Amino acid sequence: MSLGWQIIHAQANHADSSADEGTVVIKLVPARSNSIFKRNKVRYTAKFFNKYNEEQEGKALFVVKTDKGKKIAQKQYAIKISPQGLRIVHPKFVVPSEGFYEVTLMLNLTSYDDTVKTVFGVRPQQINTPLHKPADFDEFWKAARKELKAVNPNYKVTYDEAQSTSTHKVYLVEMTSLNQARIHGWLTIPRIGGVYPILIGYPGYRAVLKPLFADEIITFQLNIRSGKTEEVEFPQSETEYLLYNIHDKKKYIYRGVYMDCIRAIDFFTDNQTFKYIFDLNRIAVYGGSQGGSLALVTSAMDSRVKACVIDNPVFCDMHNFVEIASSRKPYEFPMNKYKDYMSRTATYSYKSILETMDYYDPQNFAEKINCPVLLGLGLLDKLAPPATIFAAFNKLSNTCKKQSEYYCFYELGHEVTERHLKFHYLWMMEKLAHPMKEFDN
Amino acid sequence: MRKLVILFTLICCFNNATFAGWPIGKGRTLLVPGYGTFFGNQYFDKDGKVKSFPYEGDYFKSYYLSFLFGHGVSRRLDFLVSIPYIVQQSKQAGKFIESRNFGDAMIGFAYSKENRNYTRFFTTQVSAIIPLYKNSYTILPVGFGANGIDVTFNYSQNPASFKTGGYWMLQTSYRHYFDVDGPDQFLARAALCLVYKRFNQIIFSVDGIHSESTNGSFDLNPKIVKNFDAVKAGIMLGRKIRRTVTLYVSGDYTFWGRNTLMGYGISANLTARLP
Repeated sequence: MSLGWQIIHAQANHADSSADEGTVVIKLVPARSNSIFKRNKVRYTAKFFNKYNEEQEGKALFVVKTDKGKKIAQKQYAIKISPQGLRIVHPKFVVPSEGFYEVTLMLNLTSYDDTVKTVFGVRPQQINTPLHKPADFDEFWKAARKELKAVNPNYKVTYDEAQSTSTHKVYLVEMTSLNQARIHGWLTIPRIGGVYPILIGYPGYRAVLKPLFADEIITFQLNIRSGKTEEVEFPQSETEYLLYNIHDKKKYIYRGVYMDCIRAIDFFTDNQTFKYIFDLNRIAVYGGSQGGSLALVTSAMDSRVKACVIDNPVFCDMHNFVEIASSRKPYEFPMNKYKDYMSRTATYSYKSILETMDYYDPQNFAEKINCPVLLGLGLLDKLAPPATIFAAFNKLSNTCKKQSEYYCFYELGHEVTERHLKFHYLWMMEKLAHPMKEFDN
Repeated sequence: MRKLVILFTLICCFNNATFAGWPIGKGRTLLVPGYGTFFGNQYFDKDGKVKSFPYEGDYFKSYYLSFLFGHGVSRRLDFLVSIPYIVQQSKQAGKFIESRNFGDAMIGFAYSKENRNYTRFFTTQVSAIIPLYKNSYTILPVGFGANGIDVTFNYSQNPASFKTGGYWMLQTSYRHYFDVDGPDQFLARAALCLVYKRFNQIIFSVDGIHSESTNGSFDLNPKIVKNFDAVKAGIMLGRKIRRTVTLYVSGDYTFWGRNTLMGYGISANLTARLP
């Protein structure tokens, strides 16, 4: 789905050849500029710049593994580089199928040892994993939305003079969401008159959003429920947000969080004070990490959303995520939290956690999305492995996919480039210029 | 955040409206109505010396209404059409004459390429020049009456040092008219835009034109002089008045030339980028 543009790299891996003396500078570059290949044959160019004043001799070993740690290929080269010289090799690999693979380069020379890792993808748009969607999934969320509708939002809008500027007005918006949780967000309105499209931002994990200033759109930065007023049942001492009531799908904190995201949209459609400046036919949502997942889920549940911008969405394809994350030791977030939870509670396993997560996995919502999606992701991301993200992205309907795009950044982890951040805005204004009409999935 | 789209209007001696800058945005439309006027009662002779009109009280004045339509065909490609309507008045030897007509329409495409972080743009624009009038029936022609082609290159940058926004720009154009005596024209522009409080702009510009032709005749109607040079300086103020609408007012002065009028111009333009 990419435009075929040359993807701009955030930075070259390692330094360029002007690095300090007394080292070997390594450049490992895929044959495809975004490290996404169409065929199972993959090629790299590895350059070794010897900055020593003595010859370096040894070997370079390339090992290719799947994202679950299974070795599938390796190549070794004898390396001999003259002082201040350069050696280039072109390792080629054949992988069995579509997916994401990790290349590890281990360089052992006379005076220098190093390890470099990179990731490439093969036909990611063909990644197709099982859905694990419960039979009562739609009823579950229909009931949640019905509950939300019965909650009086009790909106309170307060002008914030301290954060307002000569060009923008900032308002604190407070409202009541599911289970009477009180949430808030920052509404920022340009002082110049006109009817404005709306951009709703959702937060990353444990992040607190501040006002966002834009010239041609009204922004709303939502801060979801804090969890401080949640009745955490089991264990009552739980302090990790993503584990609050994970034992019970109906009480899991994200049931309320997803409804918070819907409530933010309700604010705009319910509001009478600013109704003449809100363009309710042009609402976009965006977020990174957890915020990306929230934006994806909100787009699926609410047809008022006309464009969705997401970076590195987490908690996608959770079954596959657990397999991938389990292959990496020591465990990192959130696997370490799940592991700790299981050891403390003793009655819960990955299976029971996943039984709850199946109701919250963004991949299970994807087919219901009614708007274009812009996806950005770093291929080195361990928190949101690219295979899990594509598992969700590929489940968009065909109509949706035709208007959607993805951009991969092979040298980045849980982030995107500055260029891509700027591109968000251009893409969003383009899609909001002529919003997609609703269609039946 | 996205830069504002600026229209630079070349009037009077330079003819027609040109637009070369950043892309409009795919699926978005640019509408730019404009009004301007030019007045001159002195001229530069073939040696660049300032001379007064032969008869006291003589002058040349023109008013124009222009309309530019642009549409973002893709993220980098824009389609542009501009049409002026010109009213020219001249007093020569005490005799007042006036002409009214549509001028030279310009129809073309502009292709923009950005750098890594959307801080520099290079735009190439190719336009056809189509006269919407016939000179054989006019006493004070509004143009050469010949088809032509315009190729424009524009380079602009938003330096990080411009903390409040703004940009600088360099532009060069080649224009050829398909007539037995051309002319061939080379145009250049340099502009600096400073932004104040996000929605206000001040733009300083210098424009130059070199027009070559085997036809070296001079006329007090600058629209039909083919062999001339001119340099003008201008200042433009812009203010965003609605979400997608910006108002610009500008003034310029032709302070040096050869075989052309010396004078000043004032204009006002409204740019609307929709939706």
